[in-house]
Amino acid sequence: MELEILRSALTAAAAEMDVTIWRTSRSTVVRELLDYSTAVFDADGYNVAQSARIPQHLNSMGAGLLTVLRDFLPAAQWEDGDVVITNDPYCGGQHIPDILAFRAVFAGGERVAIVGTLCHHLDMGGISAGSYGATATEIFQEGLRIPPLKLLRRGVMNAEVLAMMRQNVRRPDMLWGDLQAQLASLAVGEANLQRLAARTGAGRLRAACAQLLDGSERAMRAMIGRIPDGVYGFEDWIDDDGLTPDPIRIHASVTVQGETMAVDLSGCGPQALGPVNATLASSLSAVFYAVMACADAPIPANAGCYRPVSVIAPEGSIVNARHPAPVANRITATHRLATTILGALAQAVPDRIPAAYYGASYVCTFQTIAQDGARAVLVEIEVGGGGAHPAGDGVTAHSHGMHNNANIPVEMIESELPLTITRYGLLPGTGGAGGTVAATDWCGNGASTARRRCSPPTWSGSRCRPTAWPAVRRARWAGCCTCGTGWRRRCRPRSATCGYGRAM
Amino acid sequence: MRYHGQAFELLVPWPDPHGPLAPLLDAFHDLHAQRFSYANPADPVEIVTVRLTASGLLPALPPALPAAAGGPGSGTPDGVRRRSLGGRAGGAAGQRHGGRWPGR
Repeated sequence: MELEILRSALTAAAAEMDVTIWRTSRSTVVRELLDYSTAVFDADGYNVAQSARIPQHLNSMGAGLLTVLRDFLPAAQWEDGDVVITNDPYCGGQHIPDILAFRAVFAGGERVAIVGTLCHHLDMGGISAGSYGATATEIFQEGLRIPPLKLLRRGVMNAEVLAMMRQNVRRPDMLWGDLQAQLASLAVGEANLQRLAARTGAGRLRAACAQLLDGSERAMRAMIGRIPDGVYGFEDWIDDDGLTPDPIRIHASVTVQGETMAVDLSGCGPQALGPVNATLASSLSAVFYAVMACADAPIPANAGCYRPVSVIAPEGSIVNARHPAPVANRITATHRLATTILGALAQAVPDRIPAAYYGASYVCTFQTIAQDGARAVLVEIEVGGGGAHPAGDGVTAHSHGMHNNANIPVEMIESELPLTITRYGLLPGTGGAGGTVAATDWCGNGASTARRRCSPPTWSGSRCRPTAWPAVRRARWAGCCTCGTGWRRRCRPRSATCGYGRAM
Repeated sequence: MRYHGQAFELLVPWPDPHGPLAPLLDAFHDLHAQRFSYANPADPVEIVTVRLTASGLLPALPPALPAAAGGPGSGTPDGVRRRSLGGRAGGAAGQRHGGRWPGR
């Protein structure tokens, strides 16, 4: 009983950190799209509580923190008031726009916990605005990489590092605004945990964290134990990486044996030239999301859930890319990995798994440069339809799976950028046929016109057409764009960076 | 009030709207630091909404509604209105309570 109260207190701390970012952030990608997450870790860096935000982030923040602690900054070197940040996909991160920030919480001179936040920043420099270059072939083109370092040392800002970061991005004001929101969130989390530690005592808090991890592990083992033993395989394909025409194989072989599960990704294709590669932290996120999504009973999400699941992912594959492969649109691989593992598990527990959702993030970024040189940057993520399930149709135009984003309201986009959204709605007939149909996708701000007194906006889109899935119907997507002059065209279903003409 | 670029505001008391703005700004920075652990005193601040309370004399109220015919609890409906329960619309008899429809 007391343990449950402590678990709720830790979750409430993560939730209050979440609200702090929401209320203080400055960029549309954070405050409207809600592309951020917060979590609480035990003193050794294991995730014990999460905010109800983005599965893609949450399952990877722990992996990121553990990598930082193991390879770069051992916990013994963290002092009271330090804030450690990194955005390097090859140091435990996912892609360059995501800055991870961690702060150790001390009570009575002892480290009792670590609090962490992850924010998708509007721009971190690189080949295209939003650091989402669809044509990047090396990570060096994708923006500024920050290795794990102390942005705050004993509460004092490292002004040189901050100045270097601001110098390299298109909107330094937004970077600083959202970074402050992250720091505020960490401070709010720290205060909450210090209050909690003062109430329970550091020893009790530490013991409770261990019990929570063990409890979730037990629940997870029991859940896996209820899945029939067997080897379940499933295969799907990513159309291409936007630069080369070849489809990329995603394959999972899931072995359920007693209370453990082994996920073998050896059948996945090699890493791609274009930016659709995933680092191991990103791929583990997809694996744990899929396994936890098929649970038949509620299990508190924490690092204990990961213990009964082992993952094999060969280095140099699309799901464990080797430096310096580009990774901006890594969620293309991880969406598809998640739905592939669900496809495998559907053979074991068919009543619990819906048809695949859209399985790709249709990320568009825009940049406009005014006559006085002022830049505006927009990062927008469009979603699609959910898969049907035995009891009903899929949900239309809704964030699913690894996503938990909102859309940016049209009014907000038009008030911040010299862009006009001329069409925003559902694409009829994209949901597939059948008695129970997958839901209709939506057509996002593919339709934009630039107003006067504005340079040609640049556009970078990373799109992947979901391929037909024979076993379970998948929502189909058809991209369409209306360019400034009013003519319509179909976007090629692949990554592209193009300049739009001026619209008068 | 909020910093330019934020999407949420803080409610800041403004005891002296006729006086200088500086005390209001100071109060906002203080409240932001208290609530979110930091403030940016050099950043532009926006006033999004001003709430004010005014008092004065209104014209006299119209005469009260006529008393209900049957009176509360008499079993006599005062009228029929559309209602929707479980997605099915239909008519329902209603009775006034204290001379008024509930919710009015």
